[in-house]
Amino acid sequence: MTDQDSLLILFIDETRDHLEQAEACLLRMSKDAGDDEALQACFRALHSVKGCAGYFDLERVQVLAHACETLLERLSVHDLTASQESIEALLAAVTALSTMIGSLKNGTGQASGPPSPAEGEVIARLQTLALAPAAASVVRPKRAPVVATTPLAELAETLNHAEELLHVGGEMRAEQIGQLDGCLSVLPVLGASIGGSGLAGKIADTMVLLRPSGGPCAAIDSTRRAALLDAIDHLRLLVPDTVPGAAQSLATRPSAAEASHRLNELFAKHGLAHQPDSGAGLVALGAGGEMAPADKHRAQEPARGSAEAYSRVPTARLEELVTLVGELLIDQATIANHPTIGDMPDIGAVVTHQSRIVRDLQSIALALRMVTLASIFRKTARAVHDTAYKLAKEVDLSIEGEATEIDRTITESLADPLLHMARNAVDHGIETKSERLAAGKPPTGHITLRAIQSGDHVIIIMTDDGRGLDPVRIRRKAIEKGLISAETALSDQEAYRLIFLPGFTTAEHLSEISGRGVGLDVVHRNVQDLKGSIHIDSTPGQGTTFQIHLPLTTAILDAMLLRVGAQRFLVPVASVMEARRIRAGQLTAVMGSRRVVECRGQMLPVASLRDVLGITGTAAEQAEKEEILVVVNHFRFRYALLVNDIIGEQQVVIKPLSDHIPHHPGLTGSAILADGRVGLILDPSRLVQFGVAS
Amino acid sequence: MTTAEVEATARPSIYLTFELGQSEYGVEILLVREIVAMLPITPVPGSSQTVLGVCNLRGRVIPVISLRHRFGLPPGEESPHNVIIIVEHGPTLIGLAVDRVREVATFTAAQLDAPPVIGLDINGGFVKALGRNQDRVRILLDIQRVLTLTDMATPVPETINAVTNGS
Repeated sequence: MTDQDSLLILFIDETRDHLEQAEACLLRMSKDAGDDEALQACFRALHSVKGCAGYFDLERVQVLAHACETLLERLSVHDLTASQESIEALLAAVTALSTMIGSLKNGTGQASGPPSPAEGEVIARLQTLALAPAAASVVRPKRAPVVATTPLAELAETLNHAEELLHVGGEMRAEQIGQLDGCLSVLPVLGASIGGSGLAGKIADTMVLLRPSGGPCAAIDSTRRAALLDAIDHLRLLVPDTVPGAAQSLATRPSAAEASHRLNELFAKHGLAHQPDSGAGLVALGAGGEMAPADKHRAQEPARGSAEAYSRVPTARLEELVTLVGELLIDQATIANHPTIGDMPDIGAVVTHQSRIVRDLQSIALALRMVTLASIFRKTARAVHDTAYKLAKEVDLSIEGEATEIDRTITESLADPLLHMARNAVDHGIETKSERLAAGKPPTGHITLRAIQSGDHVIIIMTDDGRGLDPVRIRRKAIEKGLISAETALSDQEAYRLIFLPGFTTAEHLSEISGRGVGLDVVHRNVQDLKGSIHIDSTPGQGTTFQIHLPLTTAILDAMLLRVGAQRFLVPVASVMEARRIRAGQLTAVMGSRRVVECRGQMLPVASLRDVLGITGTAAEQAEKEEILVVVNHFRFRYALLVNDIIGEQQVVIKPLSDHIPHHPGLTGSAILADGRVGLILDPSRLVQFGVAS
Repeated sequence: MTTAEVEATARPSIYLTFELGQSEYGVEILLVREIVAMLPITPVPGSSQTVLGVCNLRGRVIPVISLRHRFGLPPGEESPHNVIIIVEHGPTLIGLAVDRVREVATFTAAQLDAPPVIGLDINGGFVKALGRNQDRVRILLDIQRVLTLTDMATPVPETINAVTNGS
């Protein structure tokens, strides 16, 4: 990989962050046209996109970002109000930019050359809006445009300030490093607008010095300080005819206080709200959502100038780390459980200490896989906005708990289901304005998207205050479509679940948004694949609540180890309701071979795990009594499994079962057990096929 | 034979040879990752009898195939010579359980014969060529075909009427 390639990857990642941020800001502006802070943040984000795109000669990205900027500038000087139309055009532009960046990443994109017809259309829209006459009624103080003066002068000034910061002396605190990072972060943009490949390369080198791992470095020692000063000198030499102020600045070096003051001026010039008391120099640059300050730290994109250093790491490397730590844990358990350890107290103490370290290591490794839900919640917000706009409905979305963390692999599979649910809620849930008024409801529909962590699960709740689900209508549709027979008796809850069947839709007309009956079955399938579950509650006329329960991670599992003959199986502890020894006569035979057992007042069907899995084994194994009953509860379905024994509980690292070999659908994965053998993991929801309960 | 095939066969071919019953077979050495002594194998319910199960290869869970069963040969006797040959099959690793390994043998193009139409103990589609040197005949396998396990069905789970809760 060349340096240019790795820079391009960095650019793609950062641009994605910028675009996400721009999108979030636009959505805020669509709620409140006067949200100046959002407007400025959006402007900055798109400005960065344009600047960086210039560095890589991505003309199409530049042109489109520039058109956005022009419109935003008009909006920002307040001679034009942020109309819904402008926001839609800007959102369309952000989508087009994301598509371009996406194709760049796949290597399929042509980011230089003339804009595509679709982009041309977006640009034309933006230009028309930007040329609109000023709204006469809006009288607001006219402010200076956000970016002023010539790039050359700015570059000189930036270099001077960076130098001053470096010369302040003493140990650089995180705050100062943050300031320095903020100061230098404008360099690539400036360098790109000045041009000259030598300059751009040197700027990139300087940034690497400051941000060795993508984020600003945690400490600047004397070596790094000297290197940075050196780099700044080099930059000066590269800039043509620079810097009348350079010599002067070196001669009359201002005090630290003054440097800080001038830095603030520079920040102001770039429209960056500098927070002198903030430990994170440029946190304000990342201010996108309406979050509590505490959340801001966690939820905002990490690569920006927070005082904590962040690194971008390939996901595959994280996976490898988790796998290796998992193996370490198993080996460690093998040593710790070895019978000879008891005879060697010295070694025993070391092993105990070691096991604590390995466990800590594992929790760190697993924490690395965790990401916040902020990014996919933002995508959901966009889907709600777009759908509502298309359907001319008024919908207000409130988001809570977006800082909740969940396994990265789960968020990847969760994005689609949430989008489907959001579109579905706006399309089917929320009524039109007139319907709402007629029903005595406020004209604006309300959707709440909430995430809470509960033990080792994350619960995502989407509530709308729409018309609710109508079990009678759902039932009728399901019979019409031949999904159930007319005689099937269903409770309301069971009727609700029918909407997850493939091909089910109650929509009378097919629309672009929904009604094709693809969607909710995808939701159901994805959630099931993530070993989660969905619950629906609905009150006709008042709304519907979808609750998705998901495990925090797909990497490890608290499992109960069951024995059938010579074989051992793992079942998630979370789905075991109870386990007990049964006494003779507790099983009742019904309908020939079927057996039931009474458990907490309910008669539960009983299945022998040996029969379910078709395990044969020796005659002695076959004859062994199955007297342990494990009651599993999954997805509101309960049944009991008969096994020979329960060996214990164990935390295991889940490994996929090879796709290459056929296996029983009730097996979802495998894990290495303490003795080094492979154990198979059962999925109680797929172990048996459920007949419709009567 | 296409030009590419002619070129491929013009170079000497190197095979790892192993025994199953009375016959000696060969698998291309380039596909062999390693040879390991027999490991504890966990049977997988719902797979075919060809799949002995899965084993733990230094933390990786990989399937182990019984080549005897795959070739329709009767089960062999357990012996300390039994090994698992780990081969690459696309991106995955698969273990082949064999009676014992013999040697690494090199065949020139002249020593390779097209497989006979009749007279083989095993499915002719599995055979790439017959290798003839040192007065022995080795059956050289097309291992990708051997490992394409399309003829196995997944059984349907047992249906029971579970009790729903809270409705």
